[in-house]
Amino acid sequence: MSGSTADPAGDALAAVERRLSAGPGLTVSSDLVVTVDGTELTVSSFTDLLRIEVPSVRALATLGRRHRERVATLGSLLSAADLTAAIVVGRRRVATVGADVTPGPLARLLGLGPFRVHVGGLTTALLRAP
Amino acid sequence: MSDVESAEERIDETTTWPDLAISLYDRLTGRGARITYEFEELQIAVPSATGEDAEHAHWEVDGTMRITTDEPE
Repeated sequence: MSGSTADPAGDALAAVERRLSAGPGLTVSSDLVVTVDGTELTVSSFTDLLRIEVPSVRALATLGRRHRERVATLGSLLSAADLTAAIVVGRRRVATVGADVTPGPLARLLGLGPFRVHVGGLTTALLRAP
Repeated sequence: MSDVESAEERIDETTTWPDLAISLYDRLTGRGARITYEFEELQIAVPSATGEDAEHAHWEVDGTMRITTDEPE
């Protein structure tokens, strides 16, 4: 495979994003467990809202630090497909990413794209952390 | 020629990562298509860049995802 760039995965995702923007809408339903560097994420959907369950705020922060560019890409892909995902810790929504999300101040500062932190949910999740 | 066949031909002719991504997207989201992916401990090493010294994130995917294309009336 050619196309030597600094970020081949990012280039490929950007290409899909352009196609999603131009193409028909998608409906996604999922029942997935995705493990990223040892952190288990549960991805499910029962309505048009995807739900990404993260085990703890600490794990979310670690993923955000390690994969900040991928978070921005996820938001762009979801927006292009007109999909939204709720990020949940312990049944509390701590962030929303994707379509119809206006980036909050923190997301703009960190360059996370269409990503909004829910301070109330994040605070509750932190207080309930073991 | 069907959309799926032409997408398969494009995959064979693919030479770059973006081309491969577009070909797969076209193949997997054809008109009115409903695609069900079933992953069983799929392990992926996601590179941050090309080259032997690139860092890799380790992803594992398990479960089911269904994607349905919404065609305009």
